[in-house]
Amino acid sequence: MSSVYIKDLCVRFRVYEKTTGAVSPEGAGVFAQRDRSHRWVQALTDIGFELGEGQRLGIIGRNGSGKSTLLKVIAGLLPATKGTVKIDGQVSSLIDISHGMRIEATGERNILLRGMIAGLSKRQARERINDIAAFAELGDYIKLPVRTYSSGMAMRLNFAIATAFSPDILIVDEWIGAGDRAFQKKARGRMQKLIDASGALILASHDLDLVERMADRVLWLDAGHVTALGPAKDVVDRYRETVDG
Amino acid sequence: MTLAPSQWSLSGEGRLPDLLKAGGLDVGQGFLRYELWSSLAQDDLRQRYRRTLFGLAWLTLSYLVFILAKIFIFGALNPAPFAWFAAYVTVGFLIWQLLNSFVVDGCTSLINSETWVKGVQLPYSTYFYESISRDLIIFAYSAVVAGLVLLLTGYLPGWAALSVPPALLLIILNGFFLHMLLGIICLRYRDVVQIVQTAMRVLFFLTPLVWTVDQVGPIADFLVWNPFTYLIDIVRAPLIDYRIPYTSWAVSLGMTAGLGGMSFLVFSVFRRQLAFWY
Repeated sequence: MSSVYIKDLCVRFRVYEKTTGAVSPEGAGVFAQRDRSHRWVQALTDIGFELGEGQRLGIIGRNGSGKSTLLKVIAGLLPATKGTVKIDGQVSSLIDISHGMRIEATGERNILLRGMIAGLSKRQARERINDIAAFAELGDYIKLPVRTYSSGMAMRLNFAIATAFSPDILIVDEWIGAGDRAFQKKARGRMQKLIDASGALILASHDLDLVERMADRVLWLDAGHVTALGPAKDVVDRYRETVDG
Repeated sequence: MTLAPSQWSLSGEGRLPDLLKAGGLDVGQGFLRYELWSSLAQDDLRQRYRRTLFGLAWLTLSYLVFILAKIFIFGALNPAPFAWFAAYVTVGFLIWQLLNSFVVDGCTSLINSETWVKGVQLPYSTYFYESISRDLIIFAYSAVVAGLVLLLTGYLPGWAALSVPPALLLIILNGFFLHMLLGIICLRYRDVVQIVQTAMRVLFFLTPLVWTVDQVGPIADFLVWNPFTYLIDIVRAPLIDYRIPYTSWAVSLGMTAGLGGMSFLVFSVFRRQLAFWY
């Protein structure tokens, strides 16, 4: 069972710097204040949508429009200032995949720790070490500290760990890939498999072709408000017209 | 990558009973991640001593050198029998060091977990447990020295020593409450970190550790107001004076209850906002 239910969701970020008369970039969350000591950026205003089993939602919008904030609220990383968020199912977010990597620890140890962070027991995480290491193609480097890896290899390990556990609800902030040309192809296949295996998908991206291909519905955010929510093609086309003029 | 619990919901306006329930769940669910936080604590320490010859044994070694210096310098100034004074300083300091680390690390546990709080959905209490188990590992390595000193000075444990394990448990409980309270307050008001660190440096001199109460005369009356005096007493007195200090126990239990209630309230009420305070 996987479902996401969001109603009247508002998120504000308190701002402690002086903002009187400050202007926010076009399309981004706006400054607001109640009095001199209570100022905030209104990141999301009255967001609502439902997502059921097997559905795929795309989120588009300009920089600062609230895409990542919305994903973080769904992932449980940020609290709602107002409104209702109901999540049924295990949520897994690929928002920052390098998160939690300890460069002094070996590749193996990192797989173990991050498996446990993902909610596996130590034993379950240990059982996954081999197939994750095999996918990352690190050979016996997996027994060395991550600090000795090339940056491409570290990214491959990150990617392999992050995409190893299939959840009920998958949250993706921009399509991720890693490694050299040969690995990128493999990574694409793995991402597709992960998405197919998950119960529901929420994908935020600036790649409109990708969003159109992956999502059946699209939510268009502008300055934290819903501009449109509907069938993927319709919303993406309207967005294209607006942006390209 | 993060897996959030399989069912959750939240609503912006929280009533106090809901907040308290969520706070309790956080504390409970965090504890259940013991495999994770104990592993993270071990990794933290290994990283600190990596590529050193003695590794974590440095903790024992440095405590030994430190305590020997204290015994010989302050022992010369104290009229008490040397063996007794050596045991007094070693045990007292061991507990002080633990309490000090609970206070100081309590202040920074959430601040230092910034990337974690922003990146993965774990119960916030996980970071407290991680920090506390790190402090306890350091404590265990230092305790070896204390055990050795008690043995060499002839202070073998008597019946009263049976009260030491529960006393340590009470201290650990205080450590958890300190993490909850100071973790939240220091995250929001960063100056408090500096205030607390400074206060602890002063408190060190105001706690009977390297001097004894009968040495200081009228100043001793002020010790009543130092909470650390009692928490140290409930461990030290059974080991070196072979008695259970009931007054200190009563005060310690009362303080723990008060601190516990206050910190749980602060934690529960502000828990949901803390992601915004980085």
